[in-house]
Amino acid sequence: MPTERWSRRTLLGTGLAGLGAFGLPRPGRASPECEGPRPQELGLTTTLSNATLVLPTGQVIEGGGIRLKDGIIEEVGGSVKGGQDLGGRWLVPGFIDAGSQVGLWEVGMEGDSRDDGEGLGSVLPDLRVVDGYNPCSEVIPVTRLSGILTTVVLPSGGKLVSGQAAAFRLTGRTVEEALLRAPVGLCINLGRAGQGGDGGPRSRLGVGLELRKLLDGVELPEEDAGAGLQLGGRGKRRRDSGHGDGSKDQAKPDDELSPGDLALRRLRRGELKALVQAERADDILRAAELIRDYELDGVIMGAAEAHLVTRELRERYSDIPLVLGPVTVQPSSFETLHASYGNARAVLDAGLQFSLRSSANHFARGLPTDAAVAVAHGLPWFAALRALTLNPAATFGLPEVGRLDEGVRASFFVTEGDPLQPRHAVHRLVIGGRDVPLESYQTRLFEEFRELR
Amino acid sequence: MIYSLLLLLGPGSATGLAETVAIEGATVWTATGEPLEGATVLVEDGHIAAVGKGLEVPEGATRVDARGRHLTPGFIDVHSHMGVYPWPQVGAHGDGNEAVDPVTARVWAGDSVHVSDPAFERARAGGVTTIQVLPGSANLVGGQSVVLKLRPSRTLAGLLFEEAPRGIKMACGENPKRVYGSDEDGPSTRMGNLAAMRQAFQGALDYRAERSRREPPPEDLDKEVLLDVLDGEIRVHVHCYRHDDIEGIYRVMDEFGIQVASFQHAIEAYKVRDLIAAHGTGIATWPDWWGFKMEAFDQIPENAMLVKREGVPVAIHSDSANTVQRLPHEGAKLLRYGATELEALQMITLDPARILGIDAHVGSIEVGKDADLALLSGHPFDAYSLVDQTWIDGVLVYERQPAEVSDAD
Repeated sequence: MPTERWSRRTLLGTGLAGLGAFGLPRPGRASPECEGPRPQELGLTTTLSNATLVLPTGQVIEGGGIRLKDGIIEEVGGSVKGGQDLGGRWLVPGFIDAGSQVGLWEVGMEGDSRDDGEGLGSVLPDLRVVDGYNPCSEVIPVTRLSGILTTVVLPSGGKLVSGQAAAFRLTGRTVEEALLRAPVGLCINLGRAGQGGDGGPRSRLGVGLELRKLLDGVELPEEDAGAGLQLGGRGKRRRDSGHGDGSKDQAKPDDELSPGDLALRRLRRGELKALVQAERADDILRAAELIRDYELDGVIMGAAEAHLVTRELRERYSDIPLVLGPVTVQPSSFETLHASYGNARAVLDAGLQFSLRSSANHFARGLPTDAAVAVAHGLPWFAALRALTLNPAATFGLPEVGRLDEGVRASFFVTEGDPLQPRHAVHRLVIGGRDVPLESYQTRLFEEFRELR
Repeated sequence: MIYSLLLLLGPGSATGLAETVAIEGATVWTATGEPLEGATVLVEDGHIAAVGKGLEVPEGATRVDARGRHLTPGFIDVHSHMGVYPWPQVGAHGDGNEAVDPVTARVWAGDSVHVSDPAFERARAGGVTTIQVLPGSANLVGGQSVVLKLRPSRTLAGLLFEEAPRGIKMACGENPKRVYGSDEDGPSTRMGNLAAMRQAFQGALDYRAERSRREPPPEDLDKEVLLDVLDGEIRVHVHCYRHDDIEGIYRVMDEFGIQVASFQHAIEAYKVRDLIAAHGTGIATWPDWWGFKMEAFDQIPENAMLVKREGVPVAIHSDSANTVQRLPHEGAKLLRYGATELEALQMITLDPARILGIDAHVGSIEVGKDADLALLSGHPFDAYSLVDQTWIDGVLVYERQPAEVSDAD
């Protein structure tokens, strides 16, 4: 019986290093990232030409190319000739997922494999995803094969302040190698996502109450106090309040604060971004108001019902960027009863800057297809492309990714065609100036089982 | 047109009042061969009357100008919980798992379906015409399924796919042992799962023997249904992920002579696809869902294609009121990994019909079949295409409206 042969082979396989790598495939075994030779240490020096070149600024150049020296882009555009002929395949700047949980957990139902959040407390300003990110996660190679080469990793919600997000390149054997920037922001959650945790709020009323208490309670030293007054408007209300004048005089210097209190102070100073999760229309406006009133450097995350309040956002909060997603959020809960595939289009029409996120881990690779859904429902193609490249790079301060400019360390992929079409396979990955193999746990399983033996 | 017809129809089937319709000039994807460009599909009495180029359109027929568009069979999802977990998802709407006993063969998903689940409308807008609603996978024998045609309807009777054979949901692997693991009687292990299945079927056979005695035991609805399974009157759909769970199910089912109609989810089917082909079982799976639990870790996106090429009917299922709206995208993902367009199309039309035993009625565009159709704005596997119209039994049940002007304009 074929099954007998198979099981004998499995037993044999596990005993043989290398050969047996697939015998008992299990997470925890080294991923392609973390076993075998490292990608070449030095950056790639090569020329690729005759590509359909996508520049997120708004150009598709047929017959274009790119020249790299030591991983840095020396020249890009229609003038680059020679080297490897890509035969019209598309060359696209690596996509950025503006919110995922890649690297934080391996198996959904297995708590032992999860490091996406912390059960204790409802306000955890010093919880950091860098402390849990696993650069050897099997999810990483699977994800980058979709063209997502950078990801902003968010801690799980279910609490008022859920921790500090970070941005990673989807390659690297150590956290240090993978890390692009940490923190990129502090996660604050409105609506249901802000409820929970030990002693945490259980309603929107509680979320509002606790959040005001928290932010008003942040002690700012004297030298910080002026900015709000100068700005005037409603902004000064918050700057001026807090614990009264006395506490400002007594505010501790930064180096005497606990890490959590320092994170909150940096948030109040606008040195640390506020990533404010809000889905329901009224929560989106609450988030915007919070960002404005406390003069935070804020981003609204999720924003499923933004299309209901685009006028308010445009008229009063046009400087606040949004991270939308997942695009396929459904009218399936009281948080998102007005979810619409046309959300991104409406936000674009309001002149607001937005990025797209998967909000996923194992399914993060569906982000380009999600973007295609938004395009099908009216979002112009280049707007979708920018929402996956330039916009998240700008929002999260990641100058090295999401673009194909001279002098930048190269991160791009080569694909059969339009990178948002699910049918188009990726043929080459260059991340951080280095070639990365087109291999994953899944490609290896496929090779193992493409013929039954 | 949609609603006026429905008002006339009331709760019953829509077929009685279908008009004669000619959908003209589309690229017609029959799901049986290569697409026909610029063809016409003629619909009479709710059925497909003719397919081809240059057909004569009867006088008085409703004519749909479909030039430049693509016509496919209505999409079929063999694994749905729409209706039994209706929107909004709140505790009060959790009607999918009768998690009180590992064997609840007696329950029928139709009795849980919320006929007005708003998700049905969104699925119609995705070109979906037929779904199988299954109980959840908490139980080894979760209960009987119901096959629905997504007609707009105020009653369950109006939704039923009347010709569909009965089906039953079974489950193995992680879910039942997790749900019942802390119960005194279990099961709490994989071996416990299979032992309890054997016990259930053996119990039904013993019951049949006892029922023929002079003083028969009282009627037991679970056992009556299990006897129907043993008699081959109900199609068996087993939620099953790991390859050795598939093999284990065959050990039990072969022992009792039960044919398995399909493995649902079938994440590791590719590892034992020869075994599945030899048993004549179908599978229903996702193109790329993985990692949400241990038994879903070895998913590969080539799974569906590898298994189909063994001659096994393969359905791409959604298991989701979200993904069901975009089954062609799910098909398009398979193309990336080597499946042909025909294979991918069959996996969301004809193969699911075969798995449900309704392929004589639906699943392809062939003369005599029900006129269940999706008219798309472009190529079905172009992610930018949208469904313009959905037809069930020759009745227009969905038509896309121009996008709403956003608030900002």
